[in-house]
Amino acid sequence: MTDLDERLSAYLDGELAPEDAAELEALLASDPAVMARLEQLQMANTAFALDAQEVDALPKSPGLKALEQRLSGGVGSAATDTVADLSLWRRARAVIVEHRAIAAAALVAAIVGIGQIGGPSVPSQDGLPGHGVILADTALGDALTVSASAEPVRIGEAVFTPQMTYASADDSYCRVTLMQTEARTGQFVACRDGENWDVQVAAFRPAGEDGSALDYQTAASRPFPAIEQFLDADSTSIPLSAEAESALIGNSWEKNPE
Amino acid sequence: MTDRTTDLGSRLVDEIPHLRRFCFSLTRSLADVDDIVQIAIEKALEKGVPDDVTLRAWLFRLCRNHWIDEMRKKKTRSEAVPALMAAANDALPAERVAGDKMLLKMAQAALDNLPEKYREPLALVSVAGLSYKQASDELSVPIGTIMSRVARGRAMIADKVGYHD
Repeated sequence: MTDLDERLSAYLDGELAPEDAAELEALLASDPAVMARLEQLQMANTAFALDAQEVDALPKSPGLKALEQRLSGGVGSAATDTVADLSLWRRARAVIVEHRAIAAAALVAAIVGIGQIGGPSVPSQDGLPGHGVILADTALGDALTVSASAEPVRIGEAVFTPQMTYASADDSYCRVTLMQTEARTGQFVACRDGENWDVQVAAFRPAGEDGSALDYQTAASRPFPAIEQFLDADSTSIPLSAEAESALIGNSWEKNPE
Repeated sequence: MTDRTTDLGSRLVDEIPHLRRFCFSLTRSLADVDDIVQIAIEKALEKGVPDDVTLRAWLFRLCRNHWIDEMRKKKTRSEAVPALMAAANDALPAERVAGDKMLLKMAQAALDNLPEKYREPLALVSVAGLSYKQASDELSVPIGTIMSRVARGRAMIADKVGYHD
């Protein structure tokens, strides 16, 4: 390691005095080798930070999970009160014109925590597998497939809460899901497509606009116009009852024979 | 529970992902991560959090102290890494991104072999987000030492992985 490495590393951390940073920036601008070294150190730092984030994908130990559930008891009980009220959505009359599945999926992917939320800087990544499809064998796909409405599921730093299930105009089943991280609150609609979930539309706002990022009551009580409009155009029936939804989940989303 | 306790509980839940990351970056032991996090949270609940500290930094300190006191001697650092990688491959959509998966794989050996004297300050700065001053307070070493060790840790990873192409 050289003194240059120390200066570059400190520069990455914002720890250089302004005059030292300016001096280094001039050097970076004039010497490609120095810039290349800066990139190498940044990549090393990213690797270190990304490696730490891998633990997010692992299930918590029973002891920690029990402790978390005990501590978040207030959150869980609040969530039961936030099953979406379709009347809110039906107030909107406009029909969403643009189908934004791919863009929506990219946003969902970012929120899911593949690196951009709440952690150190990481390379930009884009999209979910299948361009707008949440695959069944992902953590989010599994949550949509097996979780009842009002049942929060934590994936990485995000908490996903399916809010309701309905039958769409083309007779596929769709779920409206609330999504919350420290940075953002969002809502998206994903419809069953084979084993997977096809993202139809998503909307987000900074969590700060809702106060606490994990304030379910506040977040859910403030509708997302784009979601409302989409649902007005798409849903042909009232939300499924808890019993009907449970039966669907239990039957792997196949309709029960009448 | 009182409102104060309830509020602390909610804040502690929010810190769990950060604690798990920090503990894993520090210990490299999946087998130990959740135990350390659980113990740190229980200590915070039992003893309360001092008014003059940042909750996250305080919890990191509890985690680190516990690791030092109880776990470091167990030599379990790398046992869980293969299981970690396998589970992550199953669960993380991010792992389907080939480029980063390759980068992570290449970096794995370098990270596994990074000496603790460099790992600790790097974990505090790069994962926990502490300033050099805060990290120097935590580790009771001069700021210059933090600066040097953080840089050295990054340089070792970069040179072992070979980010030259």
